[in-house]
Amino acid sequence: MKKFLAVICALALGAGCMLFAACGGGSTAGSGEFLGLEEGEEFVTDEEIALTFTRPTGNDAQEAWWSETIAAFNEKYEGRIRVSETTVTRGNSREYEQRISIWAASDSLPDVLYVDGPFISNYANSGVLIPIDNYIYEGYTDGFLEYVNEQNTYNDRLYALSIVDSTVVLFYNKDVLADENVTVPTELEGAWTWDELKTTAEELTARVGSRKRYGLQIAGDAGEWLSYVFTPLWEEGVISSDGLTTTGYLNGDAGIDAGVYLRSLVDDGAVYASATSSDFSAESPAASMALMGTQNISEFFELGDEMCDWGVTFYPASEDGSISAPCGGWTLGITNDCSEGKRVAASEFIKYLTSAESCESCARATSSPPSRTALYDTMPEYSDPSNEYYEIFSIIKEQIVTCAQLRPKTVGYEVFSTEMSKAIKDILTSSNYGSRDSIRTRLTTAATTIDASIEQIKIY
Amino acid sequence: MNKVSARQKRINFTGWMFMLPALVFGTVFLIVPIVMCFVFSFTDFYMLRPESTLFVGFENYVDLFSDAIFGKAITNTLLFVVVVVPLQCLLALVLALLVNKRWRGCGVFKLAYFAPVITSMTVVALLFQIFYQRDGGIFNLLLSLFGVEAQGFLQDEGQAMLCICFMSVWQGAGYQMIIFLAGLQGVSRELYEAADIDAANAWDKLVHITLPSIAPVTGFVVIITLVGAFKVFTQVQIMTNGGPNNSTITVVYYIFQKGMSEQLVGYGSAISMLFTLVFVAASLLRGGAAKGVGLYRRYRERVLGGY
Amino acid sequence: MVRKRVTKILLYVLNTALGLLFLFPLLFMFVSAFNPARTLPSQITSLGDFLPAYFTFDNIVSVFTRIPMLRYFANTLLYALGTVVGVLIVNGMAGYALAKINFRGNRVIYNFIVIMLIIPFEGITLALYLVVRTLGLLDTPLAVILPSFFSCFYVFMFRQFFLGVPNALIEAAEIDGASPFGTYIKIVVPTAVPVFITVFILEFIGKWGDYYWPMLTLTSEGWYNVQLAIKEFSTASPYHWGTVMASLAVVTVPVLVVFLCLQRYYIEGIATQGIKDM
Repeated sequence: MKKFLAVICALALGAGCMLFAACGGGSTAGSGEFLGLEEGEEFVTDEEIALTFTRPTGNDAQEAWWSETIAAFNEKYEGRIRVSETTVTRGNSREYEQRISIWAASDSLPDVLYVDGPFISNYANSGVLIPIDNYIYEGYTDGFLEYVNEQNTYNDRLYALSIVDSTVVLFYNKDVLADENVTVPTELEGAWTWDELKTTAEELTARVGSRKRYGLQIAGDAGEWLSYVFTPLWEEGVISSDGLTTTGYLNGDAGIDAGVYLRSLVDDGAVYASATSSDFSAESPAASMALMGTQNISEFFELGDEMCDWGVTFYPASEDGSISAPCGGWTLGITNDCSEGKRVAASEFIKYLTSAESCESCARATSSPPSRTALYDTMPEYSDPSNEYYEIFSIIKEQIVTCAQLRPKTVGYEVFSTEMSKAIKDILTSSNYGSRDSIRTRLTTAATTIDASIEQIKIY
Repeated sequence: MNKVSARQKRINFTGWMFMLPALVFGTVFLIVPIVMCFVFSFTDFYMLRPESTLFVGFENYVDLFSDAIFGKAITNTLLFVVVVVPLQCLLALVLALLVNKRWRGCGVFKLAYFAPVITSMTVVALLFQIFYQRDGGIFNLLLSLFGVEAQGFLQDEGQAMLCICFMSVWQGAGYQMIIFLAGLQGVSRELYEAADIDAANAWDKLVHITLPSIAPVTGFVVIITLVGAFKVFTQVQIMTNGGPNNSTITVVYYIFQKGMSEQLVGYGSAISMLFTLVFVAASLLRGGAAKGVGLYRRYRERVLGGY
Repeated sequence: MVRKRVTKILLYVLNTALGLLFLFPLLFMFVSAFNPARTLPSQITSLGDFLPAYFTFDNIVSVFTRIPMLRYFANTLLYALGTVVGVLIVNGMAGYALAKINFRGNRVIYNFIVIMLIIPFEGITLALYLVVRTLGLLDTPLAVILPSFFSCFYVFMFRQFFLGVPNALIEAAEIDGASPFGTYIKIVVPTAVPVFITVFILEFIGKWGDYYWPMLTLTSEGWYNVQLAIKEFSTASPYHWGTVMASLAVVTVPVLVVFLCLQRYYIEGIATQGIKDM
């Protein structure tokens, strides 16, 4: 019997070590040497290169654009490159990122990966993504929004390229605001401050017949939304510039002010704590205004008449009138499981997707702001006041071009955004956080947790 | 070894043959992963960068002892176990006894009690999250009928864990009820008939026949409920994500958070191993105690001639 | 007689009250599934608001039209039945060996299995994933079926119940010249039907509701199970309460049917003896 057990254990250990050893491999390209194609150079290959690409499943408009674009790419590169894509339900609680992790741990990442911008620091640090500046000719990034390039860079090396971006704007129900005689700012200078937003939201909270109506919806995806949308409220920053410490920032005096402000939104009836993310877009909406991402616009268009008549105005400004609007979107990178022989092809694919033509068609199909600066001057919805949608997109343009603020760059973005969102949620909804002191305590707990977790991540 | 009789050899062979499928699947899909997990727990395995993994000795374990959230997770888990295990087992037994006898409509009630299990924890947790809401939640609406002011429930640090306990008891009782029912099928009918002749009342039959007859099943149910309660995870993940302020974080949730969400496999594995180790120690202690009692009994029998 | 009648009425009243309490979420789910589109949780201010203004089948229809639901049902049925068959064979045999065959190592294995009960799945997920990947099972039905075959919990359960099968039965079969396996199939299994049914139901429900492991191992949409498939409804924006509830209700019905078909075995009263001590 003992012998038998020993054999089992030995087998198990052997298998364990084998698997463990198998986890190694994957290489990081050396810097410096340029390996890609120069501008205008044709991609040639002896045999067709098969690339895998993974992205989260999007809404109908996004899905249509992707399948069309990838089909077009495969046709253009027929016999040279063939991309097969896998889409993954994004789910909530970070399921997409969890799959990336488990693929990274088992060397089974796809060649090209679509990742959310703030994760680049972590993926670059750990080597999940490889730097792509060896494959993208110099000057290619010039046409992109500066802050988008900044988001896609880690330690002065480029890791990703973006097709479109996103930002948070204030949506409002035109009918309700007209009924209540509220005029919405249309100029950047006159944008509502946070306090003005709160006052307006309070005014809009009412009982209409048997229905409840409240001022502002802030609900969204459970994982990171609250941290994304409210980070600019922390006017002195949420994290140190090296992205490693939140204590003193997240729970600094400005941070506590932000927490107190958020709590007062609920206490004074501007925000409804148990709201869902469809309170604004529902057929008979409960929310009169909503802080939401621009990625929702295409869904609103799809809903058409089933939704209220809506408009868009600027993200709230701080006391001095300046706006720092949360920005940054999904990006394309090459993983370290993409073998060296495929990397040039992968970079071709990324360049194809991020070309001016592709950016424009994606921006139009998904109603998202493009990542290339020039398009804001040529696409009619952003530049032509007579365009039907100019009213909406000109505001987004102004926000993106003049007052974008990236989500924090930190290797611990996962834990940072989760813990900060949890803290904000507690402050908004929990019965235990009515006072300034308790809010300070809660933010301090969050900061301590984040810092301890970041400390566990090694910087390579 | 040579002394083993041919008969015993045959029995050994038969036994191992019957065990074979279980051994194969158990080794590949349980023991190998556990051993790997054990090895990981001594490393700094970071999911995103497996190739840079180094052995760090007991560092993960040492870190655990100064981890305040881990402490909180242990306290919460213990609270959950202490509240849920007795309540759930008792409720399951009562339900099983209620629908055990054949009577008109008992199938419907059996279904009703089992309904939360069929609906699955994921869905039930989702529904209860809505029921527990401060505004518009069913529980607060009911309380308001009695003039009680709205409670925070899941949004209150003091109440959240108890709310999860309550939901769990209610959801899981049907599961244990089914096992009790399977056990109750085995209670011999003759015993009841004999009791009827003695004109025993229902209570006496319950205490003197039913309960003793299903004692082994009861033991089984208690053990699996205990183990299940120690591993509480799904409801926490869906209803609170460990909040508010970590007041509902449990050990397995923390394992998940560290090992999967934060990709710190080494650290997560260390928690898993420590968790298992504590359980092994407890069961050894229990085994040891039982052995001790046995020895003492034998000693008493020999010395005092037995009672 | 009067007393008996009172007891009976009491029994019904008690059961009805408890039954409603337990059936409530299921009812809530089904009622909400027929609720006209877009009733928001934030509009609920009284208990009456939970009842729909009128009934509609739109939500149910959209569950079947927006995604190929039948395909996902077929997948899930394959996973659930595949797993259940394996679970019954593997763990039933092991439980029998531990309960009734006094082979060398019996006790050690039994203790080992009880201890292994505590291993949390969440702790070994990554390791298991690496094993499954090494075996080349990723993104195939086997990735969700094979790892569930062996379960300490079910071995333990089978053992406890087989202990109650009288030894005389087994010995009689052996005297008649039946092989050990023949004895198990022909004599032991028929006397232990309630356990097999119980394990069938529990594992079927478990597999049917499985989400996390399939999420990690099945990447092709063609292999999705129902739980992965309906996730689309609850994460899609705008969030559509009626459709989410409809998708949950639709997914629950098959399990309900399975239970209704099998639960009668609990009233038949299969005459096994009392179960022996652990």
